[in-house]
Amino acid sequence: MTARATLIVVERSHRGTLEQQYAHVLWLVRSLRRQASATLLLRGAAAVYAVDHAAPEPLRLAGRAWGIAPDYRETLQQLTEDGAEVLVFADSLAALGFCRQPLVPGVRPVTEQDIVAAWPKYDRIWFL
Amino acid sequence: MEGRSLFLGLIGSPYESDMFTTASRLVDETVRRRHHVTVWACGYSTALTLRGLGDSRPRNPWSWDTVYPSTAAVVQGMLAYADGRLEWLVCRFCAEERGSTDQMPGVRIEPPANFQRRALAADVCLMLGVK
Repeated sequence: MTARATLIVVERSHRGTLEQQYAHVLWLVRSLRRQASATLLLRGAAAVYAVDHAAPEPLRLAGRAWGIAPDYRETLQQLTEDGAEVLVFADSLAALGFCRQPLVPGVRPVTEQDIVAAWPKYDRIWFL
Repeated sequence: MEGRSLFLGLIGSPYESDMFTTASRLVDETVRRRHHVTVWACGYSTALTLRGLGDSRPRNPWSWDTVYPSTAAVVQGMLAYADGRLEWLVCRFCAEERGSTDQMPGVRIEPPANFQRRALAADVCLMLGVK
């Protein structure tokens, strides 16, 4: 069976801190990659995940901490350690005002031309 | 009644945005300041407090022994902490429309006609999300 090349595009961000906790979209990407290799592209509002940041604190409500807050930085690092190619759309970073911010180590900024040129090498493109 | 009253309408769906997180922080701070909060859940927000959610989320295969609270457990915790200063209401129409009438203890299902009555009775009314 021929290995399929998959590009996973994530555009939406922050889909429920309390609802998701650990099970956010990057966690899903990592879980899917256990079965088949894939490249991750962050664009739109989700480009913010690529910006280096401190680990989030759990939310405190009713006098106590509840669960965990999604740690996108940690998951991106795990993805790159797993050998995943992680890309972020440079225009999205610029639109969000993050073009001069350090990125999570291992994440590579790409241009629209880079993506268009790379598009044919993928035979599965998933928007998650 | 001590303090002022806040009516907080949750119209949006969970897992779409940080609406529930924002609402929870507002509820927590308002109750902590000894004001009263009425939450009215419409649309798919009625699913936040389903009995079937139990106290915890499904296990995380990457961290098997960690327990993560469900949204229902978070609401339950806030209701207990509020000591009568928080009520969590669910719109009957929306709940029936979405098959989410089996709500956890402490949550009350209300006829939709009470929405305006409750909102008008509060000192402050804030709606979050889009149905």
